[in-house]
Amino acid sequence: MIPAPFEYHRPRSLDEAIGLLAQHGEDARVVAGGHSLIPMMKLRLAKPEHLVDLQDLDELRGIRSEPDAVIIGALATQHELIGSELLAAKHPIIRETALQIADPQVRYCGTLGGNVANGDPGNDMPAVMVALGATYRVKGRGGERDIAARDFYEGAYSTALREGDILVAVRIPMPADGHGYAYEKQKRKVGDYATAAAAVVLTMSGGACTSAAIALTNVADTPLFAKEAGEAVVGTAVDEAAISEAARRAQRIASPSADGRGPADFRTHVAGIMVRRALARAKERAG
Amino acid sequence: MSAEIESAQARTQKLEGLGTRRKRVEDARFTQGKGNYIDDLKLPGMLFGDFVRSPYGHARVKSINKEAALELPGVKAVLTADDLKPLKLHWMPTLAGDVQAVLADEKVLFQGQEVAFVVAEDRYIAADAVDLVEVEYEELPALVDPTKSMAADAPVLRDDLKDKTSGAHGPRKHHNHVFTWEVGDAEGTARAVRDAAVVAKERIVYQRVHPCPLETCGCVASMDKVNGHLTMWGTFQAPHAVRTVASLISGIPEHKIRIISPDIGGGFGNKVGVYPGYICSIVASIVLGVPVKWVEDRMENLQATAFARDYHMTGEIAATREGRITGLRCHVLADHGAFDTCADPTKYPGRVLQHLHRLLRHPGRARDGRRRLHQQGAGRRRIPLLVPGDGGVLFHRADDRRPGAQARSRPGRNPPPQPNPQRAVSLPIGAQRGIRQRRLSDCA
Amino acid sequence: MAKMHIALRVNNRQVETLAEPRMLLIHLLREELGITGPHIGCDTSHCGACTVDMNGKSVKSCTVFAAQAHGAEIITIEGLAGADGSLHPLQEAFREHHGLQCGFCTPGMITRAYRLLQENPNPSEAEIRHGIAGNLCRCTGYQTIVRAIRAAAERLNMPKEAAE
Repeated sequence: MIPAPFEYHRPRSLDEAIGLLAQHGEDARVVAGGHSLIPMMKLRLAKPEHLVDLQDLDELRGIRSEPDAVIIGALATQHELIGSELLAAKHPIIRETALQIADPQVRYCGTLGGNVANGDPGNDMPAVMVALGATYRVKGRGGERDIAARDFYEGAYSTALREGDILVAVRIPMPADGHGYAYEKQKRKVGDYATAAAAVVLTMSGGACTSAAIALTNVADTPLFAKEAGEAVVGTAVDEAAISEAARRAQRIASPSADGRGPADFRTHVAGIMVRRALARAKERAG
Repeated sequence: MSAEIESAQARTQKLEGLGTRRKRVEDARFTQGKGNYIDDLKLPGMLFGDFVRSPYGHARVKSINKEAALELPGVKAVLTADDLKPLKLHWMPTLAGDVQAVLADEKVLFQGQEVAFVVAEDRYIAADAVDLVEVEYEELPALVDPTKSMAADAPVLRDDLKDKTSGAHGPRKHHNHVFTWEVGDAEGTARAVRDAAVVAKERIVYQRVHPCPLETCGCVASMDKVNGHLTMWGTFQAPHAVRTVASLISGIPEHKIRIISPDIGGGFGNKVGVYPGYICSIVASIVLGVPVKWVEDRMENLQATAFARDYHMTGEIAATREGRITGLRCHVLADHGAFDTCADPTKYPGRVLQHLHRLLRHPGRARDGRRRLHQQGAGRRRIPLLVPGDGGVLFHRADDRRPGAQARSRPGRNPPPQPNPQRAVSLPIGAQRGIRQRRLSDCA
Repeated sequence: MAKMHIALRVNNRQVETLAEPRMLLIHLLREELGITGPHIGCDTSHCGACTVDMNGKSVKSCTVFAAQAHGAEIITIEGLAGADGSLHPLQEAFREHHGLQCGFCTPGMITRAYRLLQENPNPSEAEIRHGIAGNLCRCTGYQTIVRAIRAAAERLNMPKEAAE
């Protein structure tokens, strides 16, 4: 319940933050919303000696559009994502997902950056970003670089972030108008992590699917991009046969751990159902 | 838009009779954040206690090194069983006729068991000091399945009881056996089952649950050495029992002990028992001469305080083809944990079966009903169990108003109100069979 | 670790204190400032008994370091009543509709409900239930809590003259 002691820093600029991380190396961690890190610190599973609080870095806030993309600052909270009219219009899957994360209090504090960067396989936004083909803008001592969400996740709590890096923004390509979307999440109770969840983004034209991306949450130690499952519905009417094939292909790549949410084969079974439901709803919504 | 808290006089004037809606007196303070729960209490000079707990379910404690913890500024004491031994306080009596370790004495018997008590100026220092206490354990095989607890080669858990052939509730037939309690007509029931046209048999596991009140357990103990008075505030559902135990083990006479139960954040049975935290706080207060507070966190509460249920049950219902029940035979295997601290207000062990037996004993039915109930407590891996007696659903209702009436189960009909409402009993067997269920209120 | 100077506004009062950076906001409130309305019910940020209103948001104060709250504006249950001592409609409604039993979840629950009704002044029952999903109660089963919040919403939405 009581964290180990640490030194606290509250930089006023991104450069100052990056400098602090460079100075303290692996002894330093950033804190944004804190609702993943601080519970770990209270259990003493995480014991950073230096905590770098990003809350004053306004340059990491905001949700704005560019001609071909939506840019979301890493410090945008789930609450802000839910309330954003821009996102509701352009990427409604984000609001749908955010509403299924944790509870109102956690959503007030939890940030998009934290949710996608800390590598927790239970987080929901990574699969959504993978399905959307998002890229993460990362800054560190060595400068700035963009990493595709689909290339970002390496293992549980292990990502392409190098020591001293800070994720500053998420860039999501502007989607097609009238795209279909859904985030289907099975959970034991409201606010729980997923037993299994599926994110689907697709486009239809003349009754046939022209593109589809499917990604899975919490059925492996990273989010899974179900590439072949997506391919199974492209060119089809997203009918029962195509949906079944997509679900089968998604289940083949799932390898969930057995835990309080159920045995592994049960969770894989649920993953298949989530894919089915998400595809059906996405198709329904596609303009 | 103001709401006055009415004066006593005004309330008396407005007093109406039965059926009037009343507001609760305590809600005035609870809705304003002015409750007085244990952790709200702050006394001058008060110190904070915290436990070092075993990560193992069964292990020998080889050594405890307190040096580093004692050197941490702000740490006032680190107590172990060795410190309590000269005062004979390292074990304490339980409400079920057993004894319970206050601090692990050579052995730990469940994960989370208290091994040492650190006392410091505040809870942050205490938490750091807990991490600095070095305990050397020799891991032993843990027993986690009560159905295996009475195998011939099952590990010996309670060294202090291993040769005892009788316990508080009767003879013991194995080193992990607590008691066997039987009620009913064994022979008659066996005959009913043997002769029945239909026998329905079911094995049901009623899993362990934890009361988990939102407020965890805690206390503040304050020994006044000048007057020889001990005052204790705590999360106590049974303050008198706490006073008795405190007096028994400390030697302070009861009239010099004052136990106060202020506001409590739920209990549900979890706060009936006397926990090591209470005893260690008393000892620490006596030794250090200042008030000592102990409040556990949620994981400690879930791991180391009283749980409920954990029954492995087999039931057989003997019946005629028309569905008239002629006999009921139940065997319940209950995991009572490492120390039997079961809190049975009536002092009947195996209360679930006591209720069942009483339920089926109607005047009109006595000739027909035979039942044999057998509860066997075993498996001493974890701490306390509470036997249920509270709430539940009635699985069978007998029409007992006509002399000579035979018991019937009447699915689908709404039975008329009974002259003697029975105490409701928890019986999942009925739930499984879809037999009509109703909850009757307790008339007592 | 050396203590830091923390200054913040709590229930409309400017306060300052010294605290270790690791001190949790809930402990700062309860231990340093004597504000014992918010409670601790868990270790894992689930139960919401510690909920306060921080900078216009419902926040679980057990999951915030006091250091992060430097400069913040905080309202707790103790700050919901009017300056003249009159109770907030939520406090009245919880009393009227028995929205509590042991009272331990109540400060966090009412503080959360306060912000919920700011976000959504006329919530449906389903919206209330989702809106308090971060606050656990072990006693009531939530029915009376939902009723109380609904009643408070109605009271708050009444035109001012009718309310007086």
